[in-house]
Amino acid sequence: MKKVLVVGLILVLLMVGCGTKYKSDISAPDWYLSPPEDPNFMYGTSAATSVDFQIALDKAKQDARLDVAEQIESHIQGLVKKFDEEIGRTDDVELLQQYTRVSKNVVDQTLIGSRVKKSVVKKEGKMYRAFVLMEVPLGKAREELMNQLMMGSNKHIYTRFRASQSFKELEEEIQKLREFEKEQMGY
Amino acid sequence: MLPLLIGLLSTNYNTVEYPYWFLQMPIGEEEFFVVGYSPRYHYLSSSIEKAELVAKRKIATHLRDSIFGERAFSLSPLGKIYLSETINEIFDTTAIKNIEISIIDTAIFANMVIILASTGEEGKLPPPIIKDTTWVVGIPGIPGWILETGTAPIYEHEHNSWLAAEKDARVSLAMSLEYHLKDLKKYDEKSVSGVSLESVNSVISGVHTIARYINRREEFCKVLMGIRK
Repeated sequence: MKKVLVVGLILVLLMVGCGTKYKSDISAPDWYLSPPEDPNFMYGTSAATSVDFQIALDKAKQDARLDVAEQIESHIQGLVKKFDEEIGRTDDVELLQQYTRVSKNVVDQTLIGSRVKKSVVKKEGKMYRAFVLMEVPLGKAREELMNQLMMGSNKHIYTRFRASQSFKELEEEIQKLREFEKEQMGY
Repeated sequence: MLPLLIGLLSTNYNTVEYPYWFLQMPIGEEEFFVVGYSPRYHYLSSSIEKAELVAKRKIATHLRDSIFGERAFSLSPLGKIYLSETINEIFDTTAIKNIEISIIDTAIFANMVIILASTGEEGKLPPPIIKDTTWVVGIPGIPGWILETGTAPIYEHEHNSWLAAEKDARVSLAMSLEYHLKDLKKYDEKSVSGVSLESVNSVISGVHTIARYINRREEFCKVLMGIRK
């Protein structure tokens, strides 16, 4: 009886051991699931993965700032595109009509005083998963910060031409948005 | 078998002993303390010479550092994809020849040599402003300071990791000043796509390295840097 108990205990221990061996630590930090609330700050959270440590973190930081920027202002456009397409030979043409609903979300925002409040990077096998909590001061907190930061700092003028079609489209959409805003303002 | 198992379980990932001034930098009121890094060359004098140059370059960035550029991402149904970046920093390299430093201490590792240098006369080191590692998970609110962290993976040449982490922190501080974001997302019935562009264009000065941390298990190093308000 004792032998059976000992063998049983060893088997249980082995099973527990095997179970924990492959356990991965992908639990999200508390502040990611429920960001803090403060009337003087706006918070954005994000998680991102990459095989490169730095890229995972950069992606998460950018996403968290985007989260904040979208809370401040984002413009959603709904479009319905109709595509008419003729297929087949000239005497046997089939007209295909396809409607596609597309919506676009454009953000063009400058954030002053945004900073990473908390960040965690976890390794999951060959991947890195970064969690970021971004904080942006509002109202008086923002004014105070800027007064301190901008003293003695100068703006450096820098422009760069971007050739890619995607970024041209980004610029075009922002231009359209600005023109629409001007129309709405009546000038 | 048991001693081997115990040995494997108790492996210490922090096998390198860093001097306390490296992990928690002395912060002076008048004089500026800086750490210079170098690979470990055959001749120690060459390593120290290189570390001195790195220290002087860091003092030049402390005086005035212009950080500008863009970082581009695209959005696909699989998630956000990093495309490329042009973020750079410019500082006055001509100032380096006029910078005078005194070396206070030197530490030699298997693959790296570091020096603690100061712009003032050698004397008693001022105390650090942070004495623990709680800043690694959350940036503390230290009165009179604007703080940011920078991280980098541990490269084969460790000094490059620290330099990259420090640059990352300076970029984060510059982004705190002013950060611009343009983002376009397109949704249709089947998928989502888009592009995103973040940009920074700021001048920072008076940046101090406050603390350093290395995690060999997770393979990254982290620095806490700040600007005195």
